[in-house]
Amino acid sequence: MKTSKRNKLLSLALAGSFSLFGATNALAAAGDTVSNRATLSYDVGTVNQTVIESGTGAGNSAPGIGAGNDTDFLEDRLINFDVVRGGSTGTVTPGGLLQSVQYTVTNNGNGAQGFLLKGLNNVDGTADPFGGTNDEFDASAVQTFVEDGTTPGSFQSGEDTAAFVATLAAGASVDVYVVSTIPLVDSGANPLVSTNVAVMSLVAQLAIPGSTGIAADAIIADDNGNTSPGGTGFTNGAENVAAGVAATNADDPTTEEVVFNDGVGTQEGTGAADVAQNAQHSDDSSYTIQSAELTVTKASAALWDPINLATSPKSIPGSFVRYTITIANAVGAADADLTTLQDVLAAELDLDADFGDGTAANNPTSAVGASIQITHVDNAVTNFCTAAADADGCDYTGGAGGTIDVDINDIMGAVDAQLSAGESLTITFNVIVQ
Amino acid sequence: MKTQKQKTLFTILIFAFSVFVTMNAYAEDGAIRFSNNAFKQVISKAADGTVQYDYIEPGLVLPDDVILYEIVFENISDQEISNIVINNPIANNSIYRDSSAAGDSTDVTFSVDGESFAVAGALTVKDSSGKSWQAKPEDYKAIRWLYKNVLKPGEKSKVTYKTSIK
Repeated sequence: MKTSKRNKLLSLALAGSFSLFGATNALAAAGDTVSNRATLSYDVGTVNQTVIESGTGAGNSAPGIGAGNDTDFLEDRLINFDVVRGGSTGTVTPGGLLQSVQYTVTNNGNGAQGFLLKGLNNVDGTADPFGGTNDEFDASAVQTFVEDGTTPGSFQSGEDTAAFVATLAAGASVDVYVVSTIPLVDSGANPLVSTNVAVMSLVAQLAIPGSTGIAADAIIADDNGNTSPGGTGFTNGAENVAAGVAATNADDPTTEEVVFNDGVGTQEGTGAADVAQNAQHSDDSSYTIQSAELTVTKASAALWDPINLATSPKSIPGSFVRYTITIANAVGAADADLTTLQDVLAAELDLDADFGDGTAANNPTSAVGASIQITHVDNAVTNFCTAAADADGCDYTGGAGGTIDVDINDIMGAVDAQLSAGESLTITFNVIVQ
Repeated sequence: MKTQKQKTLFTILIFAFSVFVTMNAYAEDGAIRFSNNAFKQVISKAADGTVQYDYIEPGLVLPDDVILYEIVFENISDQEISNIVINNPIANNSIYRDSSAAGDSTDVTFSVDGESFAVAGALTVKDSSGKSWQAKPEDYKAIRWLYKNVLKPGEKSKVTYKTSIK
C-alpha cells in the first residue's frame, strides 16, 4: 500500500517534470533558459508524504507540485563561423564580366546570425591558394552575392542577388560568390595570358540575425573585450562598418552574453591580417586566366592541271591549287568562338568558284557556285558557301588577287563555330593559277 | 462483559486515536527543505601543473561548458524520514556527463523515456529501424536517487551530477 502510493506520487512528479524538458529540450540555442527542477518523495514513519519540489538558493519546503521553482540560467551566445573557399580556382578570360569564385559561409555558433560581406583583391605577389602563379592582376567591380538556392553550385546573376546573409541558422551553411570584372591587362599593363592569377578574399562580418545588410546591423564587440576591426565597403560597397570598442561585462545568469570565438582568417575588412575572435572571418580564392590559344596554318597542294589532270598535277597556268587553312585551339585552352577570317589572294591567283574536286573531270565538290568549304573537324560538320556577294556569309571581292571574307559564325552557327580545347576547324578553297 | 455504552466509547476512542496518529503523520508535510543549485565548472591549471576545479555561478554559459547540479535535502522536522526518492529530469540544452551522478548512501538509476528506470548498463534505446542499442549518457532523460538511510531530524545530505551544455 505504501509503495503503491509512493509510486503514484512519483509518477505524478515525473509527469510534471517531463513536461518541463519535453517542451524545451529540442535544440540548443543562445538565449535559451536552461531550467531544472527536482522532485523528492519521502515517508514519515510509515506514511508517505506529499512530494516536495526543489527550489533555488536555500531551497523549498512547501509540499506539492508547483510549490517549488526552477533552477535557471541563460545559455549565452557563442560566436563561431567560418568562410571557406570552394574547391578550385575560377577560370576566367580577359575582359570577362560577372566572373565568380565560390565560398561557403558556415555558422558554427549556437544561435542564428546575419553576415555582411565584402570581396577584396589582394596585392601583387600574394600566393595563389590553389598553387598557381602569384597574384599578377586586380579584378574590378568586385561584388558579393549569396546563393539563393534556385540553381545551386554556380553564380546566376538573375537569381543570386542578395549582397549579404540576412539570417543563417546555427549549424547552417550558405554559398557566397565573389563576382568581378576581369581586366585585359595585368598590373604592369601587360596583356593577360593563361595562368595569370588574381587572388581574391571574401570577408564575412558578424551581424544580427534578420540583418538588412546595413552597417548598423554589424556586431562589433562582445562581452569579453573582443572587437571587430570593421572596414569599408561591405554589402557591395554600400556599408562602412565602424571598429568596435572593447568592453568586458560581468557575467549575469539572466543576461545573454556574447563571446566571439571565430578563428584566424586571411584578410580582414580593413585589408589587414584577420585575427581570431574579431567577429570577422575570411578566406582566399583566386581567378586564373584561361584564354584561347589558337594557331592558324595554311597549306597548299596542286590539285589539277590541264595537262596532267589529276595525276601528279603541277602549279602551271590554268592549274588548280587547293588551300587548306586550319584553325586549332590548344589543349587546355579556353573555348574560342570563331568569328571571321579574311584571306587576300596573290595577284597570280583567282578563286575557283565551283571548288573542283580534283578528279580528272574536276567536277564541283558540292554544288556549282559553292566555292568555300568549312569543316568543324571534331564535330564532323561541313558547310559550303558561295563567293557571290550574298547573305550566305562568304564573299570574294575582285578577280585575280581578290579577297576572301568568311563569316565562320554565320556559316557554321554558334555551336560549330566554337573551338573547345584541342579542337580544330578547316576552311578550304581552290585557286586557279593565272 | 462490557456494556453497549462501553463498547461505543471504546470504538470512539480507537477512531480518535487513529485520526490523531494520521494527523500527526501528515502534519510533517514540509518536513524537508529541498534545494537545487547549478554551478559552472571552471578549470584552472597552476604553474606546477596542478589542475583545479572551481564551481561558480553560471553567469557566462556557452556550449560544452560543464554544469554541476547540487541537490540538497534537509530534515527540518522532529521525526525521522525514510524512503527518500529524488527524481530529476536532465535540463533542456544539456547532456548528462557519464558517471557524474553521485550521492552518499544512494542507489542511482536512469531513464531514457521518463517512465522506467534502471542502472546505466541496463538501459537500451532503439534506432529508427527498431534495432536496440545500449543507451549512452546523452540518451538519458532523467536521474533517480534512492536514499537508503533514514534522515534524522536536523540531518541533511545531497546528491550531485554534471551536464554539458549543447
